[in-house]
Amino acid sequence: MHKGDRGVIFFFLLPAVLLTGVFLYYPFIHSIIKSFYYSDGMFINRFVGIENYIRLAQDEVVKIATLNTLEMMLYAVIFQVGLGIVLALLVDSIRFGKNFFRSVFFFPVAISATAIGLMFTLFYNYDNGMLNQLLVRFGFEKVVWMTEETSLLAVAVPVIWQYVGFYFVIILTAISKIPDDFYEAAQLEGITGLQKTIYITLPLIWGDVKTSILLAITGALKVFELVYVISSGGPANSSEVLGTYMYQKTFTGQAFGYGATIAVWIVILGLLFSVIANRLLKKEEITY
Amino acid sequence: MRKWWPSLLAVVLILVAALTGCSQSADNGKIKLRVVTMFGGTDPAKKAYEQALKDFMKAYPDVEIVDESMTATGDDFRTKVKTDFASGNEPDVTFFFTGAEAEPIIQSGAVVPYEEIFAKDKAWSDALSDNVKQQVKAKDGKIYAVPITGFYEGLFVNKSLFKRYGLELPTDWEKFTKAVETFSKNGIIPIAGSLEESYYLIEHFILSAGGPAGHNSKFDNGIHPSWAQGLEKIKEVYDMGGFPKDALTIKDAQAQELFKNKQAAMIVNGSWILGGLTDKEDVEVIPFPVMLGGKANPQDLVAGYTSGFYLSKKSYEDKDKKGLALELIKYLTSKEMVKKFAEANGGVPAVDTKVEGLPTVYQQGHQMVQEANSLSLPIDAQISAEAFNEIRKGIPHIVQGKKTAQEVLQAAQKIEQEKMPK
Repeated sequence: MHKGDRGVIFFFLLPAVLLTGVFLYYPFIHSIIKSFYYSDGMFINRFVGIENYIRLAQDEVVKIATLNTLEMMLYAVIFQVGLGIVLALLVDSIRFGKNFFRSVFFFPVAISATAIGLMFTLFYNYDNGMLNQLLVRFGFEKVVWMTEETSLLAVAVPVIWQYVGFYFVIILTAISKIPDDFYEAAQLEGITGLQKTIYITLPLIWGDVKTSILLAITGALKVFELVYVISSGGPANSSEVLGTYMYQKTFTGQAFGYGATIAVWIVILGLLFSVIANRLLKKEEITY
Repeated sequence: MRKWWPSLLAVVLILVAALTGCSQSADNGKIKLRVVTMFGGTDPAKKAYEQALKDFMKAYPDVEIVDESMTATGDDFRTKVKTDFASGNEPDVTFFFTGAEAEPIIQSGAVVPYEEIFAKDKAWSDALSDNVKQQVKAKDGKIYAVPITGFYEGLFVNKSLFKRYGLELPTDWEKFTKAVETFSKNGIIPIAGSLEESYYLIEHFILSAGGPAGHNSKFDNGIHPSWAQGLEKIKEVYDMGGFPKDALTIKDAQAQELFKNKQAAMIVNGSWILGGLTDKEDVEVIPFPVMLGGKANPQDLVAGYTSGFYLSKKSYEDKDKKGLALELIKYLTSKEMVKKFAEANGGVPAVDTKVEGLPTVYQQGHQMVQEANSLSLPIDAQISAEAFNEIRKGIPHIVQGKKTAQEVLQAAQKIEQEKMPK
């Protein structure tokens, strides 16, 4: 390394270091410290040792919320990334209207989650909701869409719907980068459409799929607005995810110490799952 | 070695400037007052309030008001105010609740007690009656919030629906349950209630069971038996089909919508809903009936003055702001303004002024408060936010028979006790 390089490297890294330091690492360290306190965020600030962590381990709702978050993660990987791949493959194989579909599928990503949440609230509403009005129009009985059994699915649908387009665009871009000669060569060998997808396209975009899966996993941990707006985690905590429970405890309940403890738990889960996913998905990437 | 540090210094300076300096460099010589109130969104007093701000800015051309008001329905507003104060970013003027919720803000020393200011401005101070002052006093006996209007809660009914099914208004428990059964049978929602945002239901069922003594017992001597009795009664009414089919997930705003559209016959709510009603002549308000075995007097109410203008200490002591935050508060709480607010939101004015030209239901409400046997503050103004939240979030569990009321209350009590050091 040239002697002056170190300075230049430092110089270029500095803005990023400062910004993440101030807005990410400082608050995070502060949260860890807060998690050892009983705190209402203002007046009361009492050191309680690991009491909050004991409470976290015993909290029934944390268990439900963690399981729900994991379920959400599963949906995200299977449906967000899975559907994203399927849609990308379909759109890639059509001749006209690629841009049209690209915009249409990507559009929900650009809408605010709160607006989508409100829209789905209006779909699910029992007395005046769209779904029930349709049912009545076609001569069926009204249905309670949000019950303890269905609530998680009911909030998962908009979560998936919103982000499919995001992964779709990533995958579509990856596919379009594959050189045409690969397909032409395979064509000469007499490859079929499905074989082409399985033996050429998928292996070549594996790196991007992996990134998408990691993004989907970490994204699922951050699901908040849609659940908050549509169900507030209800009925009876059945659709509670870690994000909504943390918000509820920290802000609605003014229990900042315990809220910080839940936040630390979210971070631990996030790290754990990124490491696991990285391990599982370790497969030779093909460079071309 | 190349000299890289001057450019490094420049970047640091730019960043520091970007992070700290923006707000000051952007002003145009005007004194900025940041105001956060609940007169935003769908609040009925929004128009009157916004007009008042405009008039104030006309009278004081060197003032620029940054209005960050939002509706107080749900808990977003509370969160915003608490977070602003917790992060040391308190507004110059805040319109917020009094009672338990404000206690942390008061104890943090961020707001000014009004005693000295009242002493200097007798006319302003005397406009507020002693009764009102008593109600807004903080734990330390001082006044930190100047109220405009008070509120009352009660059972609001759509009279035409009662007439259609030949029912009497639900003035006692028997008539109430009969109405619930009849409406439920005929496909009308008896009570537009959200069991997710069940603030008003919790208060009224407990008040009905225990009277003011039970309702205001907090957790002082353990769990008052009327609390469990009241919450179990919510389950009974739920089992009778008293609430919307999706009561477990709808929000209060949606419940209000059902009542407004006359899809529901009754709603337990507060005086603030009157402003948004379209057919005000058809609505009547009565006290929530006393349940069988309940200890309440039929005239016991949840009502009072539980909100007011807080003055930021930082702003009050800032010479550059010239005490204008206080001037704004004085302006907004003047007799003339209070009257305008009361006309808009149907509340009971905090100062001695006559509100005229309002629909009958408003007068009924004011009369109900005047004739009340007792006025209690809502439970969430009396116990800690987290403990009340535990009860509220427990209601869906109770009505579905997954937990007993006693279990939910014990969990809430435990949280309330944790607040105090062992």
